[in-house]
Amino acid sequence: MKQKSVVSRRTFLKGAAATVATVSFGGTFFDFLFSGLSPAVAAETNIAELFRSACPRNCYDTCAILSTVQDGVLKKVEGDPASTYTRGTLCAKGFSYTRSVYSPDRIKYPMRQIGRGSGNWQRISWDEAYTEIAQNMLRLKREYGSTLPICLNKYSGNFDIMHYGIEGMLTSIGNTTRATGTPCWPAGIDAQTFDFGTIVCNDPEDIVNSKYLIIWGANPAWCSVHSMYFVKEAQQRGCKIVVIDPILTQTASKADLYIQIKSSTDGALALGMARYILDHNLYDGEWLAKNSKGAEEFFSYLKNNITLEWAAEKTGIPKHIIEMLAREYATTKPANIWIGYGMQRHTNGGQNVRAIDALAAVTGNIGKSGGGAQYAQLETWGFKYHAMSQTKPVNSGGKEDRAININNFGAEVLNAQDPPIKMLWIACRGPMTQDPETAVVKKAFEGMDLVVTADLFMTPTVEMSDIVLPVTTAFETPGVNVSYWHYWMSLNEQAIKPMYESKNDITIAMELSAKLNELKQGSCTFPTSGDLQEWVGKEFSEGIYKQFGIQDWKELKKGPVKAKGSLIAWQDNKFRTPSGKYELWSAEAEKYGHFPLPVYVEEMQSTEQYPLRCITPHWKLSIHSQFQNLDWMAAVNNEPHIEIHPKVAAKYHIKDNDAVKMFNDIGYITLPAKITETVSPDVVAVYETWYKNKNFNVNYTVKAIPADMGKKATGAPGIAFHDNFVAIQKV
Amino acid sequence: MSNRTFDRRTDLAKRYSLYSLFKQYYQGDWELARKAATAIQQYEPVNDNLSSQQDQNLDAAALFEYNRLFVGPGKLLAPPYESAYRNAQGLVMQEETLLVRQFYLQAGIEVSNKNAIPDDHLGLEFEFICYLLSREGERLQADDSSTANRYAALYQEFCQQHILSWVYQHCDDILAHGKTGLCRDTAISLVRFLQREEANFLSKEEFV
Repeated sequence: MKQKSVVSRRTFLKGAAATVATVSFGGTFFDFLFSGLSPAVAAETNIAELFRSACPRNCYDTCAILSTVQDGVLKKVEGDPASTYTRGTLCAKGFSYTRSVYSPDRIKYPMRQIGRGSGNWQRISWDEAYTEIAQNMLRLKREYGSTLPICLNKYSGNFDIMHYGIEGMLTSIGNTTRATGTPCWPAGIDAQTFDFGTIVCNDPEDIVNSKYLIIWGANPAWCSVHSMYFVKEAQQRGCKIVVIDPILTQTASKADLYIQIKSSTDGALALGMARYILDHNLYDGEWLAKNSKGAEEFFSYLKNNITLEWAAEKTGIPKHIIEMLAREYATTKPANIWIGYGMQRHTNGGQNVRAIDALAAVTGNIGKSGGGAQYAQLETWGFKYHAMSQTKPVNSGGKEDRAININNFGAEVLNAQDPPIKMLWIACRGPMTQDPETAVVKKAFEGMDLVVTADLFMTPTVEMSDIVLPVTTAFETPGVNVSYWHYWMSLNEQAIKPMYESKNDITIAMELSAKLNELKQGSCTFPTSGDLQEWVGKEFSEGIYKQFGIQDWKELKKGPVKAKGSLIAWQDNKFRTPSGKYELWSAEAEKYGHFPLPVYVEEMQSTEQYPLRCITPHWKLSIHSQFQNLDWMAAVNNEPHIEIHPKVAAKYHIKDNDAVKMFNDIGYITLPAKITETVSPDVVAVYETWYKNKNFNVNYTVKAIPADMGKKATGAPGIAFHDNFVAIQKV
Repeated sequence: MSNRTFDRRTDLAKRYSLYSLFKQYYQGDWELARKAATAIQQYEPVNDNLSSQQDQNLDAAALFEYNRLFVGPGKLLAPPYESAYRNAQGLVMQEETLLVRQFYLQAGIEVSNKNAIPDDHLGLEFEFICYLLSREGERLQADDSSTANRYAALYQEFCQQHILSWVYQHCDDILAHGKTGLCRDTAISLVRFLQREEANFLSKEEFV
């Protein structure tokens, strides 16, 4: 049995202190004491051990990973072949995991910054960190009569189920303020909620059964690489692949047909297609009669308001192409549409998704293998949320949690009154680079009494924090992960010991709770101890066991498992709408201030002053602020660009690699131009990501304009990220 | 006990003391690191323009710089890890780290908090040297010169294979990024001390 090898920092220092005494008082080397080293108790082990890991990122693929560990060191990560979705491979980002775990740049210790943004940091012990945080929490509660001045901003940096315990930690201190909503996909979620009752997609492995596939505003070749296998397999089996996008993406380059559409006019294309389908009797009247509500009203709207000429004019797509697309889509069975998240980041985004959903409905493609209107699913997320479900201390003040819109975070923090927000806890997020209106977000940070950020790396958000807490990577802690796309569940085993003094967010919650209760008994209900592995087990519900056909979560140690049934969305035609039918006419939508029908809502227009639409799609080497900072990614690319169509570039006398200032009324960025016909002439594209040590942040120009939908299902509308109008000039 | 053995012990004690201080500078928290840096100047003074005496009152600046160089939370300007210099990709816990682990193990030593702190952290490498030198001294005291010589040889081997292969470069980084006397002087002292050790190895080889 190996002796317990964890040496507390205090012991480490005691040894060091003893040595200094030796030297200072002219002692001898007989006084040598071990501090960081000790006599070896076990020989080196060269046996490679395999652990099951899960990629917890905000990504379609949520890969099952096999991690090879030797003598406690993570040597290799690879895709787990046991998952028929991951199929033994990872993406470039996933393969780079050893780079983040063992980057010398990781945040290693709790640290306190003397002067927010000063870069002057001192190392503190965990106890000092907890004490300062707890004292501030208790002080705010005393001063304001509740913990509402404490605001949590946590979202998608780690989607491990147990990480919802961060929300639980805040619940356990009382009523607090929560950044609520999700930035990137709510409009589409609400659209499908109005149409179907909720979001459910077919198992993406079912794509192979499609005979016609439209990938509409998604770029899986970059953002869901494992899905591309199924897309290519379908293509080989005779499926026609169509990509509709304002950008000729990597995915588009592999399609049989690419259609460049004017950004934000997708609904016009869908409605034009629907009109063609109606005029040529290509719709599935039987399915509509049985399963839908409002078909008559929808058809009447099409007849009275939609023409193909109009659709062609709106979308910039020739009429005969729209006709061809409509004919092929309606007559090839089964036909599938993958609705991306990019296309709904508009002020009419949700409405456009509803129009596309309608295409799938009128052609009777819903509930079919190989068919459907795929957006996402949360069917496999029915966990117990044990870590999240905490109770509030009695009489802790305030009536309930206060929600502020995560998508206008800076302004909402600044505007919060009675009580104001005085403390931020940031976890799994980087608002300083990823939120719109960076300047406003920064101002909000500046007004705080205390900002605490738990993170892996120094980011602009950490730069604006008072205390930073080092967190573990997925390899250093247990967890469990499911996807919002495929139907697999993967256990994440702890593969290695946490490096340095990093801790899991749940351990942080437990230890902070102990400190809060030490300072004021009863001030925090979060458990003060617990085995993290057991806590993972407590996340599982009977429903999850049944859905995945397992008796015990420990079975997942043998490999990831896939949901046992319901892999084709809406196969039973039992919709979760108020009527139980597919709702082309949605009273619920009307209730939320939208048109009940998927009518066309005008897209936002450019202005004379800001004539170009800047879209900020996802970048192939990152997920938001994650991954691009790693050396392997930097080796491939370490320079952001603005992509400009040659015609636009000519107009502004911009040549390749010229420095371009892109600006609007709230900010500007300067970056080199990439002249390319892959972007349409009405847009410029700047991929959103965070580059380490680069003064680049496209969100300085992005306004917090809400998308049309999102309030119903996620609590707040999404952000119309792609309705950002700018001007450009050569500098 | 011969005079020669006594000289060897005196010399060893001095080198041990310096290594202890450097160990402490790299391992300790700020208070200890600062004290160690001051003590180093008594043993290995730097009389350059930037004297640590001058900016005693710039203590806070030195603290922040020390953290920027060696601790974080940002990208370390002079990472105190051998593999950060010797690994082609600058990562920690790579083959270079494991070679250090194997070296320790050969002497019956391992990192207490193994796999949480890279084995090749400079504070640990210096502690390992302190261990070897203390063993050497203890054996000399016991008139066991053959064992003492084995420890001396092991020290030389470790120093040549590891310390000397990266610490100069590490100190260059400190001098390139460091502005305070405390961090700069300590780096200069370290370089001078190591250069002397290196010269001793060479002269011994010539002698042989």
